[in-house]
Amino acid sequence: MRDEKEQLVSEQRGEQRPVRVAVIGCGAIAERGHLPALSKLSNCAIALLVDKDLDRASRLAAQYKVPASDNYRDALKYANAAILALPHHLHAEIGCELLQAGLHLLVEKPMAMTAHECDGMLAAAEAGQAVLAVGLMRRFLHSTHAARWVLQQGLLGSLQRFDFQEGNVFNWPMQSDFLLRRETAGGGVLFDTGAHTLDLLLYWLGDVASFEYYDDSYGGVEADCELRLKLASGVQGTVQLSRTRDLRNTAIIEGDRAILEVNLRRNWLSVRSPNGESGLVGYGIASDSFEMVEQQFSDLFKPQIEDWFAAICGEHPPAVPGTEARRSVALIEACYAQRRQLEFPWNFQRVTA
Amino acid sequence: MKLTDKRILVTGGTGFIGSRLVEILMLDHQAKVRVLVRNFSRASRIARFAEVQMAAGDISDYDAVDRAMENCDIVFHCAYDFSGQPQQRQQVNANGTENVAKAALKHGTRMIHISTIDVYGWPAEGKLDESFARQPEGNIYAETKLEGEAIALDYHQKHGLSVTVLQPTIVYGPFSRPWTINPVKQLSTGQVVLVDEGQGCCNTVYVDDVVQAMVLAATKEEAIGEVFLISGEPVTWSAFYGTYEKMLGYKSTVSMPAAKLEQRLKLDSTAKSSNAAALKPVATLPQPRLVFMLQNTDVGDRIIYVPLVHKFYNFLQALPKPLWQLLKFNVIKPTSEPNKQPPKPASPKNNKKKPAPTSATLTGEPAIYFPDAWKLKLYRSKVEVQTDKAERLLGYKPRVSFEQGMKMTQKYLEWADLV
Repeated sequence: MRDEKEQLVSEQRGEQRPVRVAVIGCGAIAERGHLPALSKLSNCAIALLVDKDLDRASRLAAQYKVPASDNYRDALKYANAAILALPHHLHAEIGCELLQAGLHLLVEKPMAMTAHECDGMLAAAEAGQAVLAVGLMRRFLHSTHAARWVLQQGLLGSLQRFDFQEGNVFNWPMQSDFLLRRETAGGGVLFDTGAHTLDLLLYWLGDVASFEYYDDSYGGVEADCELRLKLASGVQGTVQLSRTRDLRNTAIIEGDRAILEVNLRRNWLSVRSPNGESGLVGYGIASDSFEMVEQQFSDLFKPQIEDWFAAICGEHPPAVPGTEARRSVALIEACYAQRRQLEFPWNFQRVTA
Repeated sequence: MKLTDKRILVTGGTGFIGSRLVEILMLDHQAKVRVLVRNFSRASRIARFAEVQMAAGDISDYDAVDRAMENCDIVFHCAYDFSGQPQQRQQVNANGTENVAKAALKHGTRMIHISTIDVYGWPAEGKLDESFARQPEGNIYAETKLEGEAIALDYHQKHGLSVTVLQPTIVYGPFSRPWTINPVKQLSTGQVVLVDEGQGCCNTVYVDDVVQAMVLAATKEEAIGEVFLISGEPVTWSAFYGTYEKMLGYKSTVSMPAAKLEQRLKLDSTAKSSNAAALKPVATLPQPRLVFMLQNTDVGDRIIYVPLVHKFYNFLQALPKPLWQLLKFNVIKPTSEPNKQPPKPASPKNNKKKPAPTSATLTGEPAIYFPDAWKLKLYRSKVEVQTDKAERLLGYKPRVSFEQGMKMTQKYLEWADLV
């Protein structure tokens, strides 16, 4: 197994043959994001599409002229790498098996349901000598890196507080109800959107020391939640996430010298003086060029997959390895363990017969 | 009266009234609730309840309705499909109501059918009760709702189905798109034209009072086979919009004489053009006009997931920007880039009032929201809705005054960052 593996890596490094990728789970994210991105890359071949709904897999497979299957184990026959875009509760179980067998994986976020499951996947990747990358695609926004640079350079001065808000009236075109059931989704807006938002918070601001967590769930999946956090650095702030409100979708981080605001979904940030008299606004730039480019959601799949391919070829570790993605999963798990009820102010006078 | 342990099916349970009904049934009645869900994307509010069963299906699919109705004591039929051409819409909603009635009859389920006051067509004045003539002509929503009423009552008369029809008035409150979110969005992006100083009568009812009536209707024997108007406290349209203006901290309504507005509607010879004027939305990004309309209008919102429409929407979204420039006349240009204004202070609660509207329309002029022909009739009408019958037979009495209702609505609007 090991020899085959080394041969494969050396072949890929020498660009003798493309990475053969299976896409496991053919929901909206695969259809709208991964497959169009894969089809634009020259150093890969889409090898197989897998979905338990074989009709759906076949329909998409016909579009890309590739085989389809309803058995994820077929990926081991057809491919040497796979994108796992399954309901959250299947990530660990199926991911571990495939990683152990040596298949490189790009797992959609959240990486798994619990930190313990993440540990299992990390161990399986090590055992199978497979690359495990996680689809926290916002790490590929130039503004994400620009914001980290601003913070690392201490341009804001001493940090005072932060406020992250992300939310829209939910309209993700779901193929099933898996995102709305706790047993399959793991949670609601905190688990789904929060996997991104909290990953960025941890990436920019470091570990969390303590928190209070409130959500509106009554046993089901929360549509709105609020976190009040105290970081290891002592800085305090809030995070609001929503599936029922159109929120600001930015992170505001206040220092005593300047205020940073970063869009959480597209390449945009600003740094301004606390009194708002002067500042800078614009795009973050890529590390290898000074080009200012707009980046939207759909622009991020390609760099994410390219980064994963480079990791498979041994060029560098993936930008978001499993160890990084585990951090936000662990925080989310801790939030659910300490949840308190979020009561809406208009609920107090419910009128009933 | 509690519906504890009653097995209840809700159609339209992901909509405004349906979602609130589900919340109240779960929180206050500990009922066993099942919701027929056509589009899971809209089900976030009800998915908060682990005990709510979500049955995938559409009212136009009898088998799905039949399966969902199994073992249910009560069905609240709130579903209404806004998509499609008028004829298709009529068919889907009429067939859908028939499917619900037929399945309810088969399973011995009590049916509460949610209709609308619009079926009366807003006469000019008087005290309106259930004996008034129905005049829904000119409003496809009212026409199809009346058709639904007829089907439901026909099942009662011919087959003995236990059915009650409720006709709520202007339902406002948290999450109300037509009478809370949209008015506030219009007031904050342009000017709303009221008729004759807004002195027409606005028969408001807070959403929880509608739910109260629904629960009462499901439990009273006297309600079977009957139609009830459900309303709360009447105010003037000027007071109604004025309350939202107070929340926003500025005035955005203007008044025009009814005669002038009628003349304007005549000039805009087709209903289409008057609707377009009423919709005049504001762009926040340069984007194809159609994409914007699909994302930001009621109709767009409802048809965006129709497969063909969605495909076209994806295609438009995927168009490279240079191509948009070629389609210049079809692109909405913003007057300023979003988020380039200084961000709000990083406090969890921002209590500052929103700035007065400075946005522009598709053409770069301030948005003016003129009433279309139906709304002109509504804003002019001085009719006062009578709920004597509901009070007598259901024991219904509105519990939320306009002031109380708007206080709660304000809390919602602040939380949703709309005021």
